[in-house]
Amino acid sequence: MKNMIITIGALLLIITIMSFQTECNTLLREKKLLKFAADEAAASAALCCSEEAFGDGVLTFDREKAGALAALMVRLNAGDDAKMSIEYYDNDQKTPYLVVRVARGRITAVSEYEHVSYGM
Amino acid sequence: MKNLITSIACIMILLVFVLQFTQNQVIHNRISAVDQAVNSFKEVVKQEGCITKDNEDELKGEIVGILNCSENEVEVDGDRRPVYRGSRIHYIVTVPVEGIITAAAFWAISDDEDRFYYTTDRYTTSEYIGRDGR
Repeated sequence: MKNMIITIGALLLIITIMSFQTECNTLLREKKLLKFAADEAAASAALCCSEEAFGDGVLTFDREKAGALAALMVRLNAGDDAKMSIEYYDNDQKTPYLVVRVARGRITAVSEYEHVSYGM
Repeated sequence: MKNLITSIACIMILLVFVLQFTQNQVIHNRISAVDQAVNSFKEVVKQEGCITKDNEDELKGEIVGILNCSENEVEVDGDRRPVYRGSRIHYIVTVPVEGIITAAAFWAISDDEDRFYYTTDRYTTSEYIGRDGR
């Protein structure tokens, strides 16, 4: 009887640890998935240069096109329930860049990409 | 003597769970490594504008090394016609993951039941500008 009680106790402990392990791995995978979606959205948005401004020698993003493309990539890669926000930092002409944040529940992934000019 | 016999039986039952804990971690690490390989594959696809035979073979080789499976079991599908900068590329990679349960025989689980297919179905944006320098 004593053995059985100890075994049941140990079994409960192992099962609890295993459920923590599964939860931790699931969270890690979710974080990775969101990071991937954010990277992809940011890389896609960084391709959307404003052609008009580029012709004038100014590097800026076509915000409407970039925002739409980033939202589409997030929806395709992370699902409809992922929330996305995008910020543009193109005042400094040295390194214009944008930042994409993708969130689902309490997990947020952030990705930053520089302006990708034509021919680069 | 009775205590010894019951203790051995208890330890055997507990050992199955402890080994499964390790196996869960191994499976997680393998899937992470496959994800990493698919991500590298995606970067090449992005530059080349589509899935090519060369990058498909390279990915398959990497996955075979990670999962110890046959190359025929790894399926790569998606867009194989080059598209230019800003266009979408779809790619699907399916791999078999075996040995999910450590003591499968102990639980009377067959080899066919002790496996699942892990699928990565994603999109990327092409950066191909139509010249050799990519």
